[in-house]
Amino acid sequence: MAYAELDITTNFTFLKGASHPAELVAQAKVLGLTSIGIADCNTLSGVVRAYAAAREVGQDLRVGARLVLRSETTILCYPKTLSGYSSLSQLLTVGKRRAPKGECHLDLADVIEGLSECAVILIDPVFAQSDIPVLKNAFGSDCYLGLSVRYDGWDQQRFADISSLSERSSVPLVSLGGVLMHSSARRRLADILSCIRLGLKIDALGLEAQLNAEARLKSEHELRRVFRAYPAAIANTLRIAESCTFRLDEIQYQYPDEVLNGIDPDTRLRQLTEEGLLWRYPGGVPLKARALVEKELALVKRLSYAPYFLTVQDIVGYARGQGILCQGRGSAANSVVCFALGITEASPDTINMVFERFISDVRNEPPDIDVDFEHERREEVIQYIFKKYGRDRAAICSTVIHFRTRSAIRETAKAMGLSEDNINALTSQVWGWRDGNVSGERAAGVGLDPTARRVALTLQIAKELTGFPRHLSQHTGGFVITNQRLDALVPIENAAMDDRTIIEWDKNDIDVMGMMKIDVLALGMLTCVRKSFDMLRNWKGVDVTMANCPQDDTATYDMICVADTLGVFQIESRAQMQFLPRMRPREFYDLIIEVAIIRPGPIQGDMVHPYLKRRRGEEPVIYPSDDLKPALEKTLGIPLFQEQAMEIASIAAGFTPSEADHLRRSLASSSGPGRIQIHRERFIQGCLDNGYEQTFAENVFRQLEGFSGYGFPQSHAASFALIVYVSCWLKCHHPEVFGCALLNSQPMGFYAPAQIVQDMERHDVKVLPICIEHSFWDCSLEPDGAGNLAVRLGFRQIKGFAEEEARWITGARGNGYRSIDAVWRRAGLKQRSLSLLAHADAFHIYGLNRREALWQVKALPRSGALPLFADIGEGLPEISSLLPELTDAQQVYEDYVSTRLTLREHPIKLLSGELGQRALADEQRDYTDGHSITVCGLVVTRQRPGTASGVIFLTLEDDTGVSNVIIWGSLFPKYRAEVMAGRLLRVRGKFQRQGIVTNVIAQQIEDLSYLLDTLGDGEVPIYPGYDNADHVRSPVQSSTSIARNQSSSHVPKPDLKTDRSKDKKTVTAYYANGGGRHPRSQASKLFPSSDFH
Amino acid sequence: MPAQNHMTSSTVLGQKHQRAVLQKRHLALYLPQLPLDQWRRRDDVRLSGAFGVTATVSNAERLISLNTYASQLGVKIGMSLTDATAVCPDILTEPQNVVRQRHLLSALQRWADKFSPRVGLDKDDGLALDVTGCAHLFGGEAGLAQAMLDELEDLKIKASIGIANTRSAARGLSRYGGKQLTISRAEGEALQVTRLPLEALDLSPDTLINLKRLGLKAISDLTSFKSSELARRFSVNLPLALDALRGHRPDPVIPTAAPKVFAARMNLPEPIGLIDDVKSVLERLADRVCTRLHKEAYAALGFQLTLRCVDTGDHHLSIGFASPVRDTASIMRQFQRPIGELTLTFGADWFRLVALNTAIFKPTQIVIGNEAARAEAAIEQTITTLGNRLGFDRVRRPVSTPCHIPELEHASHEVVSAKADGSFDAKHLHPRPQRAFRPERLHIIKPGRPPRDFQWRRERFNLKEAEGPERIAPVWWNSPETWLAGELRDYWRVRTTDGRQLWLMNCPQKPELGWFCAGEFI
Repeated sequence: MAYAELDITTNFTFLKGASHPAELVAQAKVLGLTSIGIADCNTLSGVVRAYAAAREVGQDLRVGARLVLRSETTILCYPKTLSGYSSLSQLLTVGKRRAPKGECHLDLADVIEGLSECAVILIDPVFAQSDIPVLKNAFGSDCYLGLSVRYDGWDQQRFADISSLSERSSVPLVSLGGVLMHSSARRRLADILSCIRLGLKIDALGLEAQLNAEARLKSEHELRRVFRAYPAAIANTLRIAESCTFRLDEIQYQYPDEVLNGIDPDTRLRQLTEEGLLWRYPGGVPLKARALVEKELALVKRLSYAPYFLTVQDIVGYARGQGILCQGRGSAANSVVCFALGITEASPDTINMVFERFISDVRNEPPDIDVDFEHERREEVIQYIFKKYGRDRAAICSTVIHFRTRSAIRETAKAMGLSEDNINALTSQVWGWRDGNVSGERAAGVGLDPTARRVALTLQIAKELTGFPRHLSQHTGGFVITNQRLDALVPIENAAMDDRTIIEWDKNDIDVMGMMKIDVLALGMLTCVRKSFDMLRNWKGVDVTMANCPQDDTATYDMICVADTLGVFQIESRAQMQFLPRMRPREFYDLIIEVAIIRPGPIQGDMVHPYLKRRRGEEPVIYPSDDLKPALEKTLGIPLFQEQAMEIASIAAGFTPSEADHLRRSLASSSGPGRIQIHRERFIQGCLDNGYEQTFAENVFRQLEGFSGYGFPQSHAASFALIVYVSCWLKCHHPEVFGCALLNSQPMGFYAPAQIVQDMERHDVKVLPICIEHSFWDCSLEPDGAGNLAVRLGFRQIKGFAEEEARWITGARGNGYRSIDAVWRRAGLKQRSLSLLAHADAFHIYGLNRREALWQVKALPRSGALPLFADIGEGLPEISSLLPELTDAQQVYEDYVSTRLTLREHPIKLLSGELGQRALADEQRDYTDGHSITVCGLVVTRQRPGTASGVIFLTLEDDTGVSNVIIWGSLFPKYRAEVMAGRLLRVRGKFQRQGIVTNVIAQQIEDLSYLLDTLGDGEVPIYPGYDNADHVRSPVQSSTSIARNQSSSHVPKPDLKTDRSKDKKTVTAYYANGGGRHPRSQASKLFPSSDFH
Repeated sequence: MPAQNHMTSSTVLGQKHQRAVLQKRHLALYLPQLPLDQWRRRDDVRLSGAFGVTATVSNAERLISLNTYASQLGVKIGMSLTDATAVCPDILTEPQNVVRQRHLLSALQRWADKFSPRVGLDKDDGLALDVTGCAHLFGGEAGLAQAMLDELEDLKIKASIGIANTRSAARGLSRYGGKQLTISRAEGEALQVTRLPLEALDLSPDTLINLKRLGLKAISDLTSFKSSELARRFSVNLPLALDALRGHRPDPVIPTAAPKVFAARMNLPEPIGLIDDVKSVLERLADRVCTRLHKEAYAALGFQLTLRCVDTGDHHLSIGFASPVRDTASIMRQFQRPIGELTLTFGADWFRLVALNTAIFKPTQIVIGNEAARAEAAIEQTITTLGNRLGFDRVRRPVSTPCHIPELEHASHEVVSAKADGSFDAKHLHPRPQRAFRPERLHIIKPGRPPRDFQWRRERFNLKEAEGPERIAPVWWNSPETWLAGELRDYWRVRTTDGRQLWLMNCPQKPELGWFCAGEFI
């Protein structure tokens, strides 16, 4: 006896299927079904997951698709062979490419024309009788009519109708279960999904609700009973399953061969490498490098990875040709070949090349090179790749957007008809919940009765819904390129963005299928560096590149040692700044360590202090054993990098390369420390076998555990360290150029324009205000009259000003406008734009203050000029002198309102009289631990990381710098309003110095925001914070960013049983991670640890 | 220049004219917490904590009214609800009920009628009264205002009052005067009013912001500019608003018309006690009411007759109609019964008939030979009669509702409130018997699925053929109201050997409950 269930819809038919593919596969195995077929609605996006799950449990699986045509005819389609699969994939591509994102437009004619070697099952043939002969004609004996069991009272009647239809048209029958869920318990979820899909409340769902829970996976016995009158239909399920011999693992992914002019890739790679070596080492290739090259090339050749390197080289070459700055990283980039090809700048002199550990024979997995490009010009590179390989050979891989805890609760609660208030109350409690534990206590905490039926149901269903896929989105930059047609492997669809096409599979699917991905990522700092280089060339005649930037520059390292690093790459965060003076980096390798050490992993693993002590000679450098000395020598015996973890494992515990790699993956995995435990026994036993002591083995393993989830490969650190160095060099020697480029690359980095401008002024760079006669859209350089260059702020600093308007201003400026009237006439600006300029004080050059300018602007006609006066202007009446003069304070206020920065006094300084006795931010380093302290400042960031203890971090900025304030969860309720809504706060508390971080532990908080409003007229309140950096005030935002941070392992794992010392540790780690950072900061793009395995 | 001359003379004339007329006085009543007052008036317990009223302002829930407790905790009006809950997590809110608020305001408008005959609405949170010549009745302006404030306090409504020469000045003083009561001096008013902030001018938010950014904050800041300068920059509305404030432009209170009332009453010198007499009184009243309805092109869905008996006080008799009515005959016909049920011992001497639920009457063309329309009219007649006899809530019609559960597939609606919509959803294809009833237990003689031999209503049946099951799972999102609603059910259509077609049911998860018959196909 045997049975194959062929009508299964998974939750990749978004908002319809109510079970994960894996659940269905597992349930089928339990029920003992011979075979199952997964067919989702017009998509193949779930098949890889189902395939992987089926492989794991050993369930026989067919993959197919459920084609829902525009005429609503529904056809199940199972490819019999590989070419059948390709035709299905291509058919779906055709349907999707002609439709908007997320839809698929197909007609029967497309199916007849496009599909071949597939078995097709017509569903509900009674409603599509005219299609039967057409399908039979096209598919012959592979065409079936489906008998679906529904338990709706019509089953027997329907079976009889379809059976007679089958006799008349001589198309065989096949029995189908109509499966939507793996178990009847999912009926509730299926109803909720229908509500979400249709935008209805559950009470209004009516007939769209599931009639019963019979759309579940059923046992063979049950189906045989239902279909007992149609034994042939049952037998046909097996016939189809047997005739469809296609398995997903038959898909042969081929990387483009990259043959150029008939030269095979290996030869070409060698040629290019040799050329590159000559360029890298004009004085002759060192022996060490030569040996490494030979070793790497041999390995590449054996694994046939040469085309991959050539592709990356080509993309990088294109970017270089266009003047787009780029830099490679990733495991495979850790090689001399990449250095020679110009993909990376990290030379083998500076770091240990452990190439073969990342590309090994054992790991039959594709190499991994990520390339960062300037964030503003990455699109050019993307379009180049599309152009070079064509849309049918290259596409971006997708990301499956899942329901997260918060959205699951929100949507479920909405469908269950809870009020907006209750939904808000419920979701607001999800702050930083990781595992989706929506407990009743939480609900009770917000005044909802958790035992109330609807609330309880909402919580239960939301828990099931969490993790369900919702739609496909595009990956940040992972390209899949193939030699043959890509749409023959997987359907390609349109992305939400213009000119982007994505495949239906995500990163994990690609991994399973062994497909290679090239990450084309965006990095803001590269934009800044390139802009700096351009300006240096144009204004100073200095030609610098990433490669020839003067190395080991003493002045640069001096600057780094005093932590004068605002705005530079990576080492600009507060924690880094406080660490730098103690670390005192003097050479490039120090920077590599600096980048790697101030991260949650090493901090939580307690590696920072030992390293510092050893570095300063306060503690002897000891190695666990002499064998491990070579591996740990460069980091003074403290393991900091993933490579070292692997080396320790292989040297001490005798791990094989593949085991070591598995260990590395566990370290890099974001799934937490649990996964590393599986290696524990093996590691300790291995150490004992190698003659080490038990305690030694346990200590070393604990150290490895320390940076689980946060591991950082040396090659990444090296790549970043180079950008760090270059940005520091620029800041050190050309602060005006660097500052200007940094302003023009916003938004990026940790600091807002106001801080960047303040920093430039501290470095004696003259910053000139926005001026209608001199400014451009971007900030620009101009001679300051004293032989130096000054930075002129650009129109981009004006809030709400459009770039196009700025182009009109500069385009029509000629020799200057000399009056507002002329700007209006010649540049054709709208009154709104002119008002913005007036608010920003851009007309000061005409001797007008912002009020006078606004008065004039307002007098201009709203529509075009009267024809008679078109060329000469209307001879406006002179400015009214009746307008009240602006005070200094009002000017500052207006500066902040229109540009969020001021070149005048800092607002805090203007208010210093009212603020009374306070500790300045730059005096704080003189305070001792435990000192009582009062600080005042503008609230620039406000964050509550995902710790359950509810600690809040504030950053207060005064006229000298920033102070960090910590508010313990216990104090928070008392000062909730102040913390949440305050813009200017006075905090009394205890000064705390925790090694590398100084904090003020708040004891008393006072909201002085009203003082800010006394500066101006208080109409438009000044919000001094960075754009959107405020995590606390907008809970929705915070959840996503927290969730994202957690998935990329930035915020330390919250510990529910929190004691104070634990808190301290998380606080330290939190700051180490950059603390409050710009949400669009590169961090999340830079360090997604899941991206480098 | 002639034009110049003309201007001058008109100005002079205007001044003369102004001096000649009576100095007008206006009172503005500002109700700052009207959305909240509704809840306060109900003594809602939630007001003892932080409480606010929200409204959807450009797609965001924002707080529009707060109690003092909430403001003390740092919540501010205009905050979004999410921000407010961040600041004060315990805050409770209600969405604004615009309709109720409007009702409350118009009730207040009627109430204010006792202070002045000219009462107008001021946006949706205030009233404007022309109190010229009214104040002395209440002991002067202060007395008038105090009387109002006292009464409002009894009504649990927060208010502030401004009294000035012009409507806009009074409005400005009531809203921005800073006190609960501000009365301008009739003479030096100009000075007092120009000290008010610009908001008092009721300008568009855009204009207001622009003026403020120019550093202009008080009305006095504007007085030194030429009107033409202001008009050029901020549209002509700004100088117009200034003129209205100073009284250079008429700005009268426009009393809003009260809703039309169609009623007639009759006072008799002697009480009457005979039903026929009452009927003739009613007929005369109905004639008068119907004439007025005709004149105004109105019709009513209901009428109420009040009789004041000399011994037992007021009696109210009501009738309703299925369609709007304005003819005496219909009214008389429907009052027949309630009047017949009256017992008048000592008689009644005061009668009032009032039309209820009035609306503009839209006559329909009578088409000769349109049987459907006639039938419709006849049905409505019947409904009216039935409704008046049984109560309109008892005249119902079944309406199909989209639901899988058999007993919930139809709901009964009041005929008069719900228009018939007999269209069945095409997808609604569940096999249903013509006669369905509460499931009745079968006595099973020979088991099976469904039973092969059973007894129902003392008759014995043998199974011939069966179709099914239709499996209906209980609604999971509501608690079941009956035992049946909570059970998974299988329904079978069954044909017995003697030709009857029954609708059998059992609960597959609880077979011990046995089999039921739930209906019969005819």
